[in-house]
Amino acid sequence: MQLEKELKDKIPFRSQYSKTIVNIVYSANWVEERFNEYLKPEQITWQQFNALRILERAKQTMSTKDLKALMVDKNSDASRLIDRLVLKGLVIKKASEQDLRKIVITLSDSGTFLLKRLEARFQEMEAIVGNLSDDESVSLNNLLDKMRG
Amino acid sequence: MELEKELKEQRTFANDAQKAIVNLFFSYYWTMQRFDLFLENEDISTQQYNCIRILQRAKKPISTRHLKDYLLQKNSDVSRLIERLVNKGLVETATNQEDQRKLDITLTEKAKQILSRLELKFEELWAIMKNLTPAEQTQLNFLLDKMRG
Repeated sequence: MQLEKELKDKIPFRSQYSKTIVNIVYSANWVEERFNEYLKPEQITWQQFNALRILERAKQTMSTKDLKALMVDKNSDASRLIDRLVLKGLVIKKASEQDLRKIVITLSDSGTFLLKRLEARFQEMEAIVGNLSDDESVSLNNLLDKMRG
Repeated sequence: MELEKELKEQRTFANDAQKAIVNLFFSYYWTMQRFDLFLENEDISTQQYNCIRILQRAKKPISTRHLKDYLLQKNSDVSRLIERLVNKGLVETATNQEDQRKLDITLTEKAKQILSRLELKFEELWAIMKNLTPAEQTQLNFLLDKMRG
């Protein structure tokens, strides 16, 4: 739906620039809400999912610092995020084999199983952007890439 | 720049839908970082700015409930947000005359001054989108609107 119709605030934008900025903020939050619905049965947030997927793709243990560097959301408190995942039993902390003074993290079995369950539902996740045709998804990606310069 | 090149993590996406989701989050954080630079000298967060702009546009006191409806980030804790704004001296709260359960929020002089100072450099904010031509912004807005259905 057109942004102006969806926003409760009925005041027109000062410029198209303002509108584009607001639309990106609004749309990212819209996607995050849907993403959280998709993750609800697993009781994890999308930031936690993001961290688990990074660990899965890395296929090896990582330090908190390495993980943080790979996270899309740079503001998130990676140490706290990992502590929560440890509490949930999805991630294990242990001493590094190369350097016993270093702590590394890795997916636990239940973390791995959780990702397998979600993988079976990946199409559901992709359906978040299902209103766009393949070509439109490509255009959206190109425009966002160009926007960031 | 192409998302895959910009991400610290070397990864490929299964399809453009999946990439669009990550791209939207990534571009949202990218935009927020630039927004923070715009607000740098004023010691307020983007969310606090968003709040005081809503109050400015409303041109009258609004209730906590109203403010929540107008916020772009729906998951934000509005009571805490208002508490912080009160502590910073940017808004004042008063019990609504007609409905004692409601709290009316008003901008302070200090907040109005911040908004006037920022207004002078609005073009700096709009420059966030400078890599896109007006036609490309129209296209981006159209795709985001369509995505949300």
